[in-house]
Amino acid sequence: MFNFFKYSVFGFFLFCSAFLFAQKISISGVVLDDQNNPLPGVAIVVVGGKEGTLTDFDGKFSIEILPETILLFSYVGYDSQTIQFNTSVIDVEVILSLGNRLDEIVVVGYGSQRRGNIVGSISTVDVDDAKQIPTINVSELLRGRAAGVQVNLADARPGGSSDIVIRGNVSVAGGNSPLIIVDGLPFDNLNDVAPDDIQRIEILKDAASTAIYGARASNGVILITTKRPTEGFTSFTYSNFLTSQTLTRNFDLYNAQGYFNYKMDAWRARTGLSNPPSSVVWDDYEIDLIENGNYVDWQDLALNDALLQSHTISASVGGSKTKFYTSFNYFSQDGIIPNSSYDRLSFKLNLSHQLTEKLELESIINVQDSKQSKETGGLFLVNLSPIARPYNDQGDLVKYYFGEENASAINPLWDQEYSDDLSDISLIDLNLRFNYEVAPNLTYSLKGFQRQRTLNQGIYRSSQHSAGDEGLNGLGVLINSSYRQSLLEHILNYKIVHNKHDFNLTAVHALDEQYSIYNQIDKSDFVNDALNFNGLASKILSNYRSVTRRRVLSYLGRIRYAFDDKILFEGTMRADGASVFAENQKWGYFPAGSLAFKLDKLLQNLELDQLKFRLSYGSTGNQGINPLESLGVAIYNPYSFGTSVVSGSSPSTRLRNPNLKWETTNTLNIGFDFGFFNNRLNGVIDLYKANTLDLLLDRSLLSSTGYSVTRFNVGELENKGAELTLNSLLIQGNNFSWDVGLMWSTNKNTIKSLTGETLIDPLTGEEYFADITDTSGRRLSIGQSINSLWLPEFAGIYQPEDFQPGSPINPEIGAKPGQIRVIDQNEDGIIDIQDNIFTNADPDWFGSFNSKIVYKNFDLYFDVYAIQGVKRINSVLADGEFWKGEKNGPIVPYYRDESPSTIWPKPNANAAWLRHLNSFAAQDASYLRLRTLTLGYSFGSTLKEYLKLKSGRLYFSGTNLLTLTNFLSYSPEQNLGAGIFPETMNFTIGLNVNF
Amino acid sequence: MKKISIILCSAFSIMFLDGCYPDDFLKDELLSDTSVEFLYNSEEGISNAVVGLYSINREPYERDWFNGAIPLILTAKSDLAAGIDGEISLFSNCFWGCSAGDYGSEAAFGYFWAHHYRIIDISNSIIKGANNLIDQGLSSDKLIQNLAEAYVFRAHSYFTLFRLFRNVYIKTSPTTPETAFDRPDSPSSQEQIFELIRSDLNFASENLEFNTQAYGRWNKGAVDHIRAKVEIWEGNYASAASIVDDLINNSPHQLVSIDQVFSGELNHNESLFSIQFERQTIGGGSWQQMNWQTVSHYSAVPGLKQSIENGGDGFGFLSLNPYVIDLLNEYSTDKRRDHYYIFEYKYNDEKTLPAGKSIGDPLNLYKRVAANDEFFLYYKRQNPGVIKFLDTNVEPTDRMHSKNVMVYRLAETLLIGSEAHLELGNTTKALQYLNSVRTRAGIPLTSDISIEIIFEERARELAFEGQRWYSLKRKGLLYQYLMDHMNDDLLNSYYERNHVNPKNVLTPGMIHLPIPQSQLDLLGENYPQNEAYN
Repeated sequence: MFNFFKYSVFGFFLFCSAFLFAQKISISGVVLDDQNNPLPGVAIVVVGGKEGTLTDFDGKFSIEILPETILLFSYVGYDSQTIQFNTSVIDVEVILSLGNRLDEIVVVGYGSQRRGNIVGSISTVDVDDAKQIPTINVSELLRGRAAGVQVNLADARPGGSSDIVIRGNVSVAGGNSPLIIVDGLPFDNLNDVAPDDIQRIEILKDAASTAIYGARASNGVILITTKRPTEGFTSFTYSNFLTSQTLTRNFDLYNAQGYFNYKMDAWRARTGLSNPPSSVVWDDYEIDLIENGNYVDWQDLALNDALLQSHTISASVGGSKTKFYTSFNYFSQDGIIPNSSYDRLSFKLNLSHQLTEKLELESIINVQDSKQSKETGGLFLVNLSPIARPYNDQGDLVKYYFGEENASAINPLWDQEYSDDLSDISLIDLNLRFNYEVAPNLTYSLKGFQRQRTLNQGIYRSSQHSAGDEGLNGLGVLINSSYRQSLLEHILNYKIVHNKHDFNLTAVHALDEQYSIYNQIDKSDFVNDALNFNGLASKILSNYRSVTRRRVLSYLGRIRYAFDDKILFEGTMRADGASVFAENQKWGYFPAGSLAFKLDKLLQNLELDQLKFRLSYGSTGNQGINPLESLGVAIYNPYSFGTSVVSGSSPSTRLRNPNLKWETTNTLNIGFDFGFFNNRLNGVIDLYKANTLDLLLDRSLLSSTGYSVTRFNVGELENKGAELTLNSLLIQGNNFSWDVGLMWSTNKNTIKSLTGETLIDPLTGEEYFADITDTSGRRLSIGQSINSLWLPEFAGIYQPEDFQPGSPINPEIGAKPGQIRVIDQNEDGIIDIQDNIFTNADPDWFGSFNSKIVYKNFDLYFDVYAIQGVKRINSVLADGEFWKGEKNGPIVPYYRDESPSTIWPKPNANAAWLRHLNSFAAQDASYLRLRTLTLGYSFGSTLKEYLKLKSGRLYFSGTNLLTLTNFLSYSPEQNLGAGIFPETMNFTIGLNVNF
Repeated sequence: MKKISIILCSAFSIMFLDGCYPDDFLKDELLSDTSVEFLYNSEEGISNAVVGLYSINREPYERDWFNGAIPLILTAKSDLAAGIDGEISLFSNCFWGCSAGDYGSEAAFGYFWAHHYRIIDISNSIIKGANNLIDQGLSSDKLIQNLAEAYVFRAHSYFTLFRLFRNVYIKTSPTTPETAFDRPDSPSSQEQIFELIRSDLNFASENLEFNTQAYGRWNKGAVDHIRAKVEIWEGNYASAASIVDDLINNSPHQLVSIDQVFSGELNHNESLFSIQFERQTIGGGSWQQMNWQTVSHYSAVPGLKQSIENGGDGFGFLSLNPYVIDLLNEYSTDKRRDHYYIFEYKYNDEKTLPAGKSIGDPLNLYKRVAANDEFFLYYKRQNPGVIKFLDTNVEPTDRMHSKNVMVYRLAETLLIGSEAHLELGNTTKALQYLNSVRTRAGIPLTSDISIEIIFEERARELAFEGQRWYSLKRKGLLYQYLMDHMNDDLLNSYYERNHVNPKNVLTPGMIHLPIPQSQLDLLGENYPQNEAYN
């Protein structure tokens, strides 16, 4: 009642004043930044009024206002300014300076926060720098952009993806993928966001920040905010880029002559003859090929430079009541391997509308349609013999590259020609949110979200293809799957500000359901090949259907408290119920608390812009397991008696665990945020220790139980690490600026405890804790990292002198010079698993360094990424067929009797020769890479005026230009093996214009 | 409507932290999978689970590990095989499988261990479930038959495990989450194991018919055959002889003509039990590659291409060794050379025919001589092969065959009977059984009989059918026969160049397979490894 009276009186005075002083004054001038560059698009509004304008391309504006009016000049990223005008002024010059980073608004779980008031460990990714990589694989945009965030290339294929691990693997079997939240909505695939739509990316790393997401937050949270319009500001943007992708590799393959010699060497070793008869080494068709000079360079033949392009058009419209951002993106990528490509059309609409003074409606719509084509059958060219004939005399492809007589040597190009693997994926996201101001400072939001993704995949091997011939008459696989996620959230928010006390309370209730259906039909005996997998066929080879559902119910509350802007506290409590756990183990409870001191404000005399100390501790959960693991599941297992088939079923080899429960990670984080010299040097240091309890483990069972594995909660895993981020604006002048950034992270992963079962060493009688093996074959042992290789230790190559009497080396039984030597740990003369040792495969550290130089309209950016101490088994070197000379491979200075190598073994065509290849092939995959080098030109005022643009930038960029590593591969992130799609070096030209 | 009520209701629940959700809202449900409980709690479930057992029983034959070598590993380790190339040869030459921790032992023997214990655990569940139903008053013929089949699977797997590993332990109740981490500390005694096997097989023998309603299921003939094998293993010759006599005299089983033995579906009177395949059919299994492993790579020779007459697609990884070839060549009239084995590959390709050869000429390009390692090409491309697994219905170039695989047949029963009667001193009966096999093969009757002669006949008749290794082992002949005949000395010395001569590695104790180290680690601390591997 009182308020109503107050507003009425206030309104009455305003009303009167408008009539009394209708004499307007006119103001005009220019708005500049602190380097005297004009700022276009600055919003100028009358404080308390409705009039307003924008600056033009040259920063100029003019406006008519009443005297004694205050104008507010505001522009994103800059500090706003207010100026009162009493009389008309021409040529007023307003200078806006770059905003203080600390006032920047950072998105946090269920809300936002001033950067200066952040209590947890949160990294913000510089999106503009990140977008220099031409890709829609958003994970790759994050590589090297935030401390503690490790990105591993999973699939370099067009439309492929990468894995993200934040602060090490906290789980063995529960998955280590972070939770992805885009505009408050959970995303199951980071690549569903179009990079051009991204406005901000924040990464929440400690429990204090992530606990609000409890259920799936133990692996960290990636928060993405897409673009939103600025009120009163309308703009259109067009951006594109065109990229050329080129194969890059750090090894050479044997050519025909080289391979001939290599294989002969392998047979010399096998037979002991200095000149083994060619009829023993080569098949007759190979001898023909050699005599006729039929040689081929497979990589040259099959891999071609390929193009990638992207076009985005977007509009950002900020009306006073209705605001929207909408974009349309077309992305198209051809792969360097034939038959591989990816095309995507995506549409986005972010809409908000003020329905009444108290009720706001927000809506997000994403629609995407993508098509992926994959090469079939893992085209791996490295291993193919260069002595081959893929084309006949007429220049047509032939099916067998060794000739008709050898039906096992199938020309991969032939198979590509006669096969298809096409996927059609469509995605629709619909989100509606109502925000209602229940009372001053109390808001209620209702959020509903539905995602529907459908996949239609068809794979066809025609009757000409090696897998569809021999009377099969074509082989087709049809896959349909759909995924539906529904989310409902109620959010209450309440703020209290009282003197020096600032409270913010949030309560949320959420319901999340994911429902998947998968259908697959394999069939053969098609009418003909004309209709591809769309044809009809007479034989159903298999049909499979799987339906799964998972549900999570959550209740959570958060309190934030700030005292005098000096001491900050935040507490969170969350309860989650997840359907995937056992009947009485559904609920998990995840508390967290954090405290921060703004030392710069507490110790007022310090010449610091910021010095904040943060401390947090909290729990998060992991439910990243498949449904049904607490239940007994049977697999379909029919049998044919004579010609009649009868349905049968067998229990799966995974034993149910009726006590399956949450895995919990407790994280302690200590951090400092600091800024000196007007924040020109700023940085963050974080130290953390995360302990995961009740590990969800896939534990191998004694196979005489009749089962192979069960999911189990047991043991403890620890991740300890440190992260450093440093940014410095080294030089800032009128025409020239230079800034550098550095990120460095290290993480140590240690298994603290396992099942608790002990064994007795038969030799020493000592009791020790038993190791366990998980289903991916990893050996888990207390004190080791979960990513350990468990192999005999490589100790070089046996030399002739090792077999001399008096040699300190005691060769294993049957060993010969030129063979791989490993260490016989128990000195029993036999190498077996008792001689295996653990080698940590995790990196010691990884980091990146980037730098940006701006000179007038030109900008130059580069970033370097390094990872140190990674071990990886290189499949191509672990492949016995290569060392037998049966397959081609990288040229290496292998052991020869006349020049014995101490690190490369001797090839030998006898399989029994090839021992301990994995120990040998477990190689250091550390690398240093110049990831990006970009040169940009921002349009000057003349060009902008001529083209009627608000802004424009043209750039050239190179990706993966230089890599230093000893690991032989297309990319040191991936071993060289079948099915690996080569990563490429890319050259890009791109344009962004704003009008 | 229900959804709307949840939306409205959940709006309030935020204040009361109490659900308007149904009690089972967070229940994990099987939406497209069959529940294990269904399998053991109804007649229908039990019959489903038994069919599943047949399917699991087929798995070793369709495993594509080691190029499909799994079903041939024991053959490769027998005295009749020459390991020439590929993974299977590594089992012949002791590069794999002669120590506890090597990859071959881990993968292959570990698989045998897991496979048979899996069959046992499922059989245990079925036996428990079926007996519960019987206790509840259900006793249809179908249920009794299924129960009997489960008993056969259990007995057969225990018998196999014991014969392979010796140190095995018995469990007769299903594994539960509570017992899954038990660590048995000692193996069961032979008496305990054989007592269980006998009692299981006796139930089956009493409750199964000779003629099952579906070809491919266990029948009384197969069960009695296994019973005879069990008895002769323990040297109970009288019991073995009487089981065999009963089977010969009172069952419809009899020898069929030599061209019938391995033809078609193997559905004939001699056949006792076989593994069933049906090409490109759901439930028909994937395929076996046994023919490809055991027929030579003749098609690499100019003038020859793959054809059914030449034995289909072959790659010559494992083949007959000179010992068994000589036995088969002992009688020029032996019809088995043409029907079970292939001794001549014939020129059949006009396009690549070399000068001086005409279509139909036998391949005779290579000699089994040491000079220039020529014997290697002889073995790889020309050595006689085995066509017991040949699928004549697939394209000759196809290595993936869907031919049924013979496991037990009456010819072996007769040879078991012959041996049992000989040991009992009943030479007449022993000769009668032996000669019935010889007659069918077209070789002269013998009046001379000894264990050695019977084992020579077994070699000719049953080579590569998977029983040789067991038979020699039970008779105490395995180590000596291997030392006398394994591979071929040309091959053995050839292996030595790059590794070792298997004869130098083999010890008498290796007649028991090593218990895979990874399994031993999960067993109790005192669980014994077989001595040869300590």
